[in-house]
Amino acid sequence: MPGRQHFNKAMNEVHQNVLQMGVLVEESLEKARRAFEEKDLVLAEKVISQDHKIDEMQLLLEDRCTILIATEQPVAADLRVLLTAVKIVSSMERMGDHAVHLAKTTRRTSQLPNLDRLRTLILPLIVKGNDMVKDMLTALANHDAELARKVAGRDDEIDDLHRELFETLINFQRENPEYALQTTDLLFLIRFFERLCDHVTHICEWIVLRETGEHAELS
Amino acid sequence: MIQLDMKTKRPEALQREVSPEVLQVKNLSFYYGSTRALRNIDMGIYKNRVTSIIGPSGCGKSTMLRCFNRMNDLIADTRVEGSILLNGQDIYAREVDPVRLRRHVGMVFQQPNPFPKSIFDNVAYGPRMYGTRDKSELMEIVERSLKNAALWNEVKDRLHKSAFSLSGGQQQRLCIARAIAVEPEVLLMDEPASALDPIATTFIEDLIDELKKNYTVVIVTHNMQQAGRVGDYTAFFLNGELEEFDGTDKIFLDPSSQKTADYISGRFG
Amino acid sequence: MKNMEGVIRGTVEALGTQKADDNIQSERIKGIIFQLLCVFAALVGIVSLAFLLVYVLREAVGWLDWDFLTGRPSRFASKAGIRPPMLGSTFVIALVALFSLPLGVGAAVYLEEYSKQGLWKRFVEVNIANLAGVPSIVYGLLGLGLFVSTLGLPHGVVLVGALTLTLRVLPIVIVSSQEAIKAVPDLQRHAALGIGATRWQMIRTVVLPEAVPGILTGTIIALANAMGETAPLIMIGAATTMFSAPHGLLSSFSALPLQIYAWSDFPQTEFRHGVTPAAIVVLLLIILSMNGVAIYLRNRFYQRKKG
Ligand SMILES: Nc1ncnc2c1ncn2[C@@H]1O[C@H](COP(=O)(O)OP(=O)(O)O)[C@@H](O)[C@H]1O
Ligand SMILES: [Mg+2]
Repeated sequence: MPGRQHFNKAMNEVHQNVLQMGVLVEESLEKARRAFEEKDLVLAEKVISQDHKIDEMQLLLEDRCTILIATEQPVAADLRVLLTAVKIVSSMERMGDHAVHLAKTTRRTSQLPNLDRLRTLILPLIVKGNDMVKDMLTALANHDAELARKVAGRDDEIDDLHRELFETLINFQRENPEYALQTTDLLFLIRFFERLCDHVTHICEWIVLRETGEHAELS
Repeated sequence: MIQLDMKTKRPEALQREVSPEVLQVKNLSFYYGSTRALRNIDMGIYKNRVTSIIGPSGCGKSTMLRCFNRMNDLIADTRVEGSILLNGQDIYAREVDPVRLRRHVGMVFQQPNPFPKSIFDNVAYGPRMYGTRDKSELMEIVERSLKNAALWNEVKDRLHKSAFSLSGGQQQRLCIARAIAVEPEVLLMDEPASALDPIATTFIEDLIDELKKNYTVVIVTHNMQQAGRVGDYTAFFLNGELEEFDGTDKIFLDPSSQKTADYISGRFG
Repeated sequence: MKNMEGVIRGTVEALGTQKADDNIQSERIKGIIFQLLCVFAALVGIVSLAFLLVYVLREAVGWLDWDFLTGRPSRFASKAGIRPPMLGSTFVIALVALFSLPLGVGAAVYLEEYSKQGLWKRFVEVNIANLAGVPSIVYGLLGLGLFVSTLGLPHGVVLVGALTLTLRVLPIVIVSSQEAIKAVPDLQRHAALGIGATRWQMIRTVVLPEAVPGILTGTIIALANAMGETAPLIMIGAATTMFSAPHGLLSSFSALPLQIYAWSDFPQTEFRHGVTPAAIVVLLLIILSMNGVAIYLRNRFYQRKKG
């Protein structure tokens, strides 16, 4: 009979809840991507209106971890799991905000056909970002430090893509000053997706720390 | 969405509690001779919850616990003021028989204290005393109690061996089995793990968590980490007074009293 | 690290050297002397008992046979037997056990489990302790006054002998029962009361079962003492020599010590150096085996406690 059954159950629940939150974020990002690609404003509104769920989940999980630390005196792996969980959920919450941002940008830009070319150029960045999120969740679910390291390695690719898009958008803005506002919007968007991938990288570092106890500088 | 279990109650736990109060302590004071060991205590013990009583040595934890089943009556020259209600009835009322009361409010002590009898006879002690004679019925009770005390698998092949052949932790679980064999409503435990090693302590703590499904548990502990681990509620006693009583999470995250904060963070004195 | 090794080496050197003011050695010698004194004290008891046994056994040899055990007293040493006084003693002691156990245990249970700590309890206990120290001849007088003069029972009968000896052993039975009851841990009392036992249920199911071996040990030793009592029996008029065993509570009787006392006064050497030692051996065997039973009970009790 393994000891501390109550605590073990609680720890397991924390892990499951972090995953659930990750899935919510992933779904939100995926919906926002589809809305952006298919100019689906209804879906974009849905993303915006559902974000509060992610925020609530973050609060609950943070409370939960704090209480477990206060009352159960976790040490070693248990302590790492709880501390990294707190960090992971706060990054996830930011990722959720980026999904909202994507949805809002969709709302402001999808009705302008002149921007279609730019939007098609940006889409791969979003798809790549979302793919990283998916793989990061797989690593999180499977306690796979190796996969986490690999996922974090893809950050450089994103940085390159971001730099290219930045040039393109700046040029477009210079040539089409009447779209200055929208291009700025899109500039922010790619900036945010670059940030999103940084969050994924951080989460991957925490996964490595949680699983191995080693600090990994993956970015 | 996330389902929070009882343990992760938010503050204001007491207001949110839906479970009825099995025991209500009302303005209780207790005297040993002329010294007052408890002063004007007010608190409730909620059904199917674990309530921990913590506090420094000599603050009145054991005295409070013994008030719940009138074990203090056995000490000469003691006096109670105020009242304790068990399901609404004052246990200190004149018509209440303390012996009958103790059949509803059982007790487990700090030192494991099995009788020098077999494991079976220890658990069957209470039921036999209450008049159960039938062999198969006794066997049923013994098996159920030992299972509930998470001891059955370890002793099922040697029920007729002496209880003293068990380890300290097993003896304590045997005492718990003996106490629940008579199906009390409330189980009082006075530092039940303080004489045990860490592994045995973990077993007892897990057991307490299981027991609350069927019983209401009040546990005295001088180990506040233990209170954190097992208690839904925590009562902090200081110098015979109830300094703070609230959900365990509230006490451990955000106690209202500075003294409670000092005590649980080890900054006492 | 180096430093540490230096310190350790220094300590080792100091432990090996004998300093001038070192008193360990002289203390050790004192200890050995004390130990020897204790061994000597223990030997005095053992040696004298052994001496006594050897002495009486040597003289009893040849006299102690089946006929001696089953025969009746006689003027002729070769025909003398001890059946009547042996049965008399056994009868009386059995009655003493019957009377003193319930009275003694009852009194002890009252004092330990029911009476409140206080003046009354102290008064009773001091009196019991004093009674235990009263010379046995005084009990003889008490028995005579109480049972014969006051209650009108006949002189020298079994019942009066048993009642008188009961008075004699009662204080010892009470005190040893009290000790046995006190030895039952309070934890066990609380365990029983904590699951709703009444006081009597607790005494019956927890205290008495645990105290019984201790009570029996004390009682048997007291009975063994009573077996050897002579003076109180003389006082109540028991016969020194009887030719038949007692057949009822109100029949006259003799007891082994009385018979021994009578024979030791006979002029013939066969009685003084044959029959009397043989009777003494029988009495000693009975008493020693009673003590043996007591020791056996005590050991069994402790083994059970250890589990
Ligand atoms: N049987 C007793 N007689 C007199 N005073 C007692 C007795 N038991 C406890 N006390 C006193 O009552 C106070 C509270 O004791 P207790 O309830 O045992 O404290 P705790 O269990 O918190 O260590 C202490 O000051 C103690 O000395
Ligand atoms: Mg105590």
